[in-house]
Amino acid sequence: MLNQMRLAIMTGAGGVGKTTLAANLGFEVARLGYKVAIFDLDPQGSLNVACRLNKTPAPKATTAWIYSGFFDGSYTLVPVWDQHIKELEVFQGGSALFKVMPNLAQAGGSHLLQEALSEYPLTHDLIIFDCPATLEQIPKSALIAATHLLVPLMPDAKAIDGTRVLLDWYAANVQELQLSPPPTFLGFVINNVEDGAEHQRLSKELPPRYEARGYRVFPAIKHYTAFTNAWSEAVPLRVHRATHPALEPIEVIAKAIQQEIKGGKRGKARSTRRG
Amino acid sequence: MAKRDRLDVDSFFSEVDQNQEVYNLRERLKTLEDQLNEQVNHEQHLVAEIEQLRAQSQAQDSPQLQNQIGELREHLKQSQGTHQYPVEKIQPNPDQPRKTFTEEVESMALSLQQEGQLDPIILFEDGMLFDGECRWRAAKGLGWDTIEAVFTAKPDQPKALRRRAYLTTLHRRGLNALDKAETLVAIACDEIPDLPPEEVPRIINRVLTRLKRRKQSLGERLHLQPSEQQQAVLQQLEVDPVEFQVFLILLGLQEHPASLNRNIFPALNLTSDLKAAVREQSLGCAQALILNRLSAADLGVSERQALKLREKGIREVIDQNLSTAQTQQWVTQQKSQDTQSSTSATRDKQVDRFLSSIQKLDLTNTEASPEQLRELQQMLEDRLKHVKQLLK
Repeated sequence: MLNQMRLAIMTGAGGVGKTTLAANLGFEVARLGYKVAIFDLDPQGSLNVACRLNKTPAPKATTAWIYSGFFDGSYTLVPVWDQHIKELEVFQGGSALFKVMPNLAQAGGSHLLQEALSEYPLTHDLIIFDCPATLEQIPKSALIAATHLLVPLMPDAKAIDGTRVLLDWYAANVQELQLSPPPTFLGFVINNVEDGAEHQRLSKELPPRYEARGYRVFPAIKHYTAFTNAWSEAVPLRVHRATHPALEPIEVIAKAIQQEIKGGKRGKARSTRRG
Repeated sequence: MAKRDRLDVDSFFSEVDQNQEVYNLRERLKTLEDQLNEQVNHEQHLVAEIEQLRAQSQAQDSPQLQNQIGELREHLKQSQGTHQYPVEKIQPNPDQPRKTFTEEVESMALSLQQEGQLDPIILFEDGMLFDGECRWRAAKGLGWDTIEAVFTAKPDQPKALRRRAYLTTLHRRGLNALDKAETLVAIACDEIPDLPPEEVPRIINRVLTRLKRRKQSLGERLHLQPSEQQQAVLQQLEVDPVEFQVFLILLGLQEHPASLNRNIFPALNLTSDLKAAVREQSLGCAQALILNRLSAADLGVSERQALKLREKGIREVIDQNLSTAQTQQWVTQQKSQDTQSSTSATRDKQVDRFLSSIQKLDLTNTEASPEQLRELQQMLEDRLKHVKQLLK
């Protein structure tokens, strides 16, 4: 029996490569033979570009439908990259999400995603929530629905401080919402590392400090123009270049996900609290 | 060269740690509070039981009573340790008149002298005796300055308990509207002794309607403001003293009257079968309120039929796990079916006349011959066949 993993990709700062990571991770996990859905919860809908999907889907065909109050279990999942991979689907996001913000702000609104998934369960092994960068109602709903969190960050002051804000936000919400068990941190990924001295220094200094606080830090992913090129072609990195050094660190994360799906201990959050 | 401007990773992480520490402490505080509440509840429970036992039997040395007192004493010793308390400051308890025999006090004095004090006496926080009058009198006789004591709180009045229980469950989801409404009404009635319970929701509704008519409002966040502010606002609104009190009590429980009026108090109007379903079968309150519209008066049917229909609705909602929208749909459907059947049933006068004459037909003392009766039987059977065919 496989465990469904609901992985929220979150950050406290924008532009750190969330969507790129979501798309490539989704692809890699699907490649291992699992059924994967990516929920684009971002009103920007950048996943639509990454997968070259219709940029203005009908609101009912987007994740906004879940928050509409009329959700009836119809997830409009679009298969992507199906000439390369089986069973990778996307539930599109986009500007319709702006319209449901008032619903989300209402009492119980942030529970809608979790309620939808428990009332109308999906059979996917992995559901990735690609969240917007600002920590408000949508990421909150993802936090409630998720079993795991993955935090990409860039080795710069803005993104690092974003993780402080995120950790603070996480603790406050877990306490306020009395989430039990709260979602586990799958780990941090240092992303888009450039060759400059400051990036190099920070990507060396950060991991031991996160690890000392009980968080896993995945191997850093360097900045490559190949990512930009893959985006332009609207394909995952592996399709763009079958062998590429950046595939290896992504695979490490995919393997970690596989382990959880195959029956890592469930519901036992790696506590951020230290005795 | 520009090293002083670079991000210091350690100072950043110390900030992370500080935040985390705050949450850890808060969590710890909550656990401690819960533990404390549990302890206090246990204590209060024992104190109440002991008082009850004392009231029931005059025998002070009944093993059950001594047992309970022993348990309370141990509990208090463990949770707070013992204290030396000035003998002079101790007051006997007027509510627990006890005949103290000089003989007993004398033998206790002897025991205290020889073995010292074995068990601490139990005092209320103000120094009033709960248990150990004998030891106290003996110690006084011996001229002791202090005596070993443990302390317990005076048993709360039921109303204070109710209020506290409400406030501790206040922020938990889970409390359904019905329980919430009933508890709030009970609390208001505790505080205002002569107020009939059914008046509480009426007062709220009445005042809110009046305010609306005068285009006045309480303000959205009044329930989150300090009590003085709440009083000041209420004073400006010209409400009578009882209304003032009711509003202040609810606001003091961090409840906004407008929201109660809209979302919580309507649950009090549920029929008893729906209330039972909310409590025993965890039917959602929102769904129950929708099913409540299936009343005999609304449907123009008998109470029994309405009850049956609601029972069907309760089963449907629970089995199918219907949302409020779906419940609404179901109710609308039932209602339209109901009106259809009553409007489509245009009545035929001929049939009506036949029905009434057959009802009146009295065959007990009839002079009719067996032949005639057979004729009637035949006729009715023929007609019945026809009716059955029509109904198919």
